[in-house]
Amino acid sequence: MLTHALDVIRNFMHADGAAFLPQLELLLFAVGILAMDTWISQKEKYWSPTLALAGVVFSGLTLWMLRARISTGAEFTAVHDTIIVDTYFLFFSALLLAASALVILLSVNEGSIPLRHKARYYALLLFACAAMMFAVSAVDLLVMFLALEVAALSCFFLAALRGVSSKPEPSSVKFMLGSLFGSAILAYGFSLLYGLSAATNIGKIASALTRRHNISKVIAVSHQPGAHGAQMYQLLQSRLPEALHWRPFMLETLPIAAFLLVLFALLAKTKAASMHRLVESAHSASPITPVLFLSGGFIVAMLASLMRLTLTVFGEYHDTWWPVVVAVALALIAAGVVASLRQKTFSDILACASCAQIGYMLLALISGDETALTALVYYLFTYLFIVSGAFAVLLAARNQSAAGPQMASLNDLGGRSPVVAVLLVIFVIALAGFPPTAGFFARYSLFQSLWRSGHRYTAWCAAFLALPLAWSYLRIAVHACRRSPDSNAETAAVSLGAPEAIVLGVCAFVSLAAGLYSEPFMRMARYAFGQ
Amino acid sequence: MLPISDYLFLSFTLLLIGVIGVITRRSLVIKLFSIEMILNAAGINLMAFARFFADAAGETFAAFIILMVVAQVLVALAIIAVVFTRWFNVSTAPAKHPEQGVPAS
Amino acid sequence: MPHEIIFFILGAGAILFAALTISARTVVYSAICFVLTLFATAGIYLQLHAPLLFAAQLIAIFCVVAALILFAVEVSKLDVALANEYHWRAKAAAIIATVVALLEIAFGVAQRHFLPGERLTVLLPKASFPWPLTVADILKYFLSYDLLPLAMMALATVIATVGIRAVFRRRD
Repeated sequence: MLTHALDVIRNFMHADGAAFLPQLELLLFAVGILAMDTWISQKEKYWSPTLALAGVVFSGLTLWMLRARISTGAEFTAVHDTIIVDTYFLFFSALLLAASALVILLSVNEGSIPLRHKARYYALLLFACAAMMFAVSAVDLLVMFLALEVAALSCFFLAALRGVSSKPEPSSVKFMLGSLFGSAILAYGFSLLYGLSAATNIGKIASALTRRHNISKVIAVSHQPGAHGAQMYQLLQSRLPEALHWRPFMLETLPIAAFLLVLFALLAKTKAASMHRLVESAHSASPITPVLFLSGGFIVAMLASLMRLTLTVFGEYHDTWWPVVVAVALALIAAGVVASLRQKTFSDILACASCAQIGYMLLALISGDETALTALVYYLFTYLFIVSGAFAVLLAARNQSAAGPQMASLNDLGGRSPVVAVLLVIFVIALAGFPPTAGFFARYSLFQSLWRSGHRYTAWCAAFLALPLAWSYLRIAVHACRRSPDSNAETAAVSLGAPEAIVLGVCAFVSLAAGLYSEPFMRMARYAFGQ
Repeated sequence: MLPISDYLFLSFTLLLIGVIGVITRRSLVIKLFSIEMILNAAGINLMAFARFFADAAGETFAAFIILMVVAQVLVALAIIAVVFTRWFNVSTAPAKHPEQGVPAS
Repeated sequence: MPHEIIFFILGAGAILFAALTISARTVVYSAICFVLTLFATAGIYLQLHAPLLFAAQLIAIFCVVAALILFAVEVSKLDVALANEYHWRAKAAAIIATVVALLEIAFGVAQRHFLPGERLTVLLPKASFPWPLTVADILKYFLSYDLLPLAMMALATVIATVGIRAVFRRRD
């Protein structure tokens, strides 16, 4: 009986179980961290981040094994065609694991997380990462919706985590309500997609919408004068006579409404994640690493889900929805630029400007071709490391009490801690989009794809808005290099622990290497689309 | 069965009312109720389509939506309660209530 | 005809209580109207011959009421805190919601009766079965095709338990 049970488990793990083995490992390690925390002493609490990192590494190794499996055959689906293992899933899961590893390393020395809650913190982080990986692999609307909800639930608690002896911040409630609002709109959009296709699998939904779009085009042609129009009219008369009384916009309204709702919902969640800390009090002692996870990993998961839905389900309607995406992207960029120019603190500038960065990433959907999508994935990849590096500098400075929230407290950082100042300048220049950093090449690739696909005015507008955005980032670098005339200014130096040094080293390497020699990184980005 | 468009109009009206509630009201709890109303609208849509197609997938999706409504109300009320009871004391009126500092959207 | 009357009564009730929910001056009145909206929605599920969802919605109503009672003190504190909120917001919400609902209903009636060929819901897929599914069919589907979503809901429960312990702690 035992061998029979083992055979069943083995067969399951070779079949459907292999598809979500990376997520399962993360969940097991999270449960292990919680269980172990009940019997280890205070001095042994270092085991929690160690186990969390081990879980991320094991999950990464499993992804590598899955890569070997799908390189020999095609991608495969599992659990009644609700999740898929393809190159897209492998790439974005690896990115999410990298984001989690960076946050875990930075959390080791973060003093504002109470020691007795660190185990729960790491467990919530791993739960969120696993749920995001499910969301990226989902090809069923219900699984995608629930995965995004479970990820958001973990992030609610991460955002609500209080610092030592501090009050919980209202910013966590703002993020929660913004995310719930996005989820509700997403559920409505998904209900329309289900209604248009009688299916929850996105492949079947895409087929149904394609058929609907083709009939709409035939009806539009049949209303035109000429031989071709008459031919279409006769075709409709023989095959679908009732369509002669329909207007094309009647067939297009529900799919376009569904697209708008899905786009708005995922952007609302992304915006809630990136900008929720703006209402925080100036001297908040709340943890920073959850903010980094929300600004990095959560945004990656949302945009990856949006890309999968947009390209698979709504691909046929590209000619109809691209003007909407232009308007939304430019509005996001403008709003982010205006908001960031008004901010006075380092973290607020990063939060507002991330809104603009998301707008730039959305521009890639306008062209929709291979070059643009590769540029988008490259941008997302490099943005994650650059913003993690910037947050790592902020965290290291705060841990040492060497920098308060105001920009003036960064004055003379170059004199106090030259290495930290140089790293900060690298990340800021990369975010601003100057050469030779990865930020420049990412934006250049996007503009190039827009130019080639004929969206020249959009490219000009986006390039124009990049200038004030660059200034809002460069203010940080200016303060870091400026000598302080104030005798009461910060004088403490920033020393880096081993985890911070590792994170800063990796992030600085990616920020510079991806700009100086981008070919390997572009090849990685193309891998996400199976090339 | 009634035409599917009747159910679509009802759910769309509830969606719009929910969106108006989220945008116009400052109270966090009323915003939460407006959000749950949007989820209810999605549930009505799913169930109407499921009955139209005689398909089980839509009905189970609607059941999960109802589960999410319950979970969200419980978790959201709990988080709101913990955050704002630490900030606000009824006996002494605060100079500025943090909820009033939270933008409407 | 009876189905139409029942649907219009329940639909009108749901819209009315939804509008009252967002335009109520206090959280308590809003909560009462929200619960009544949920009841109207439950009635619509029953009218759609979905007894499972009707039962689930009643359980959801019970849980929402229990949560509101559990957090009644904190919710009422928030109510007191917002006593100075400008009433124009509630009035504005009521007016906008009423106008939008009336426009919606007018458009729906026009589309249904005066523009029979101009429906948004043309070309929807056909029913997969000739008759509505039974409760047993639904449960069978739920337990065979929806195991991954069920596992995710279980994971959500675990996360909520862990998170609540992390966030809710006594003052230091």
